[in-house]
Amino acid sequence: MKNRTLNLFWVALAVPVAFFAGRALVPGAALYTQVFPQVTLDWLGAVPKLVFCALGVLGGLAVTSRFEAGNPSRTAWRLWTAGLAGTLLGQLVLTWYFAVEGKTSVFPSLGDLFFVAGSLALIASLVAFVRAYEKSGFPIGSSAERWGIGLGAAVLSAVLVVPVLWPVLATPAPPLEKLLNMAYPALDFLMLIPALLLLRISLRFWGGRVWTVWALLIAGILATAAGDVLFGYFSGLGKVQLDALIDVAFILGYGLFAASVLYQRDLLAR
Amino acid sequence: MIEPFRKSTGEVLQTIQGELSPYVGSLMARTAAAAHCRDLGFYDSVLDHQQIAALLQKIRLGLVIFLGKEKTEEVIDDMQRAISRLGETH
Repeated sequence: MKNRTLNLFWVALAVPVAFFAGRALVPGAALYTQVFPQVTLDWLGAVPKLVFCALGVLGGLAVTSRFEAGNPSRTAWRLWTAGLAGTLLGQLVLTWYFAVEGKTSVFPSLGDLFFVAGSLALIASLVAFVRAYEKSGFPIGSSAERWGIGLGAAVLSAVLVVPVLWPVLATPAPPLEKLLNMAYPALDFLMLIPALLLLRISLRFWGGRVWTVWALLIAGILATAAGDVLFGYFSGLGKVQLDALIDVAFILGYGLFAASVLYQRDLLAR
Repeated sequence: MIEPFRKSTGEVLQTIQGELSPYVGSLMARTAAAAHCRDLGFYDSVLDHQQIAALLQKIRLGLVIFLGKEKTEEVIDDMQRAISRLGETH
């Protein structure tokens, strides 16, 4: 990407993030209560998510096609793109409900099928990335070190996920709703295991363009994980004031995913 | 008489690092170049044509995971050109 296009991308990400961060901090401000009606706010939340997911999918397709057949990175990027496509389809379903039926909080819905499938593909892709990097022959640390980090990340995830989700689990709700409220953060924390491994590996690439791609991607995983936890509280405990923060987390997460894919595409360009 | 192709190991490694570091960072560039050299058993202070080719092949196999085949070939070509510009060591 040219510098101008890159700057435009970051501005396009920063504007909706700042807008919804402002709403989270000062929900009673005239901007959010008088200037923009609720339906406009809903659109302002939905469109950036769709755009960044779509950018991620398109960029992912370009990246996948640039890795030759037989390259383990091709499989990993293909899975990553499939995961983002699942997320995009999920977001499209949610947008459909709100645009056609005027419903803003349909949960559970058909969209959840795509979100869960997408998360599973993203986890599989991260595992595929770790395996691909092992095959590179670059000094990325010993197998014992990677096992140690993987086990440590698993314990950390379990320690974090149980207390964070306990209130959601303890709240009465239909079984499917409760299952999904648990499943999303659990899948995110499961995703954190290979993501932390990749973070450790990527630190060895500090300062290079490979590092930039991975820093963006892992930051995106952390942002969407935060969004899923907040959503669990929002739908499980009825904490509707978290609405704006959820938008911040998901717009930022999807934006960072798109950025990582676009930087990787540039890295492969001749 | 054609001079044998012999380059200083230190200079070759430094050249490889210079070409690799924009992609994989200076730390990885340094450790990867040195580790590959060690893995291949090249401990002498000079490298001949075949040894340099073997070293570049090893780097190529790793780099392809991160950059894909086309971009990797471009980077390796740049490395080869930069190495061939280095002075001969006797």
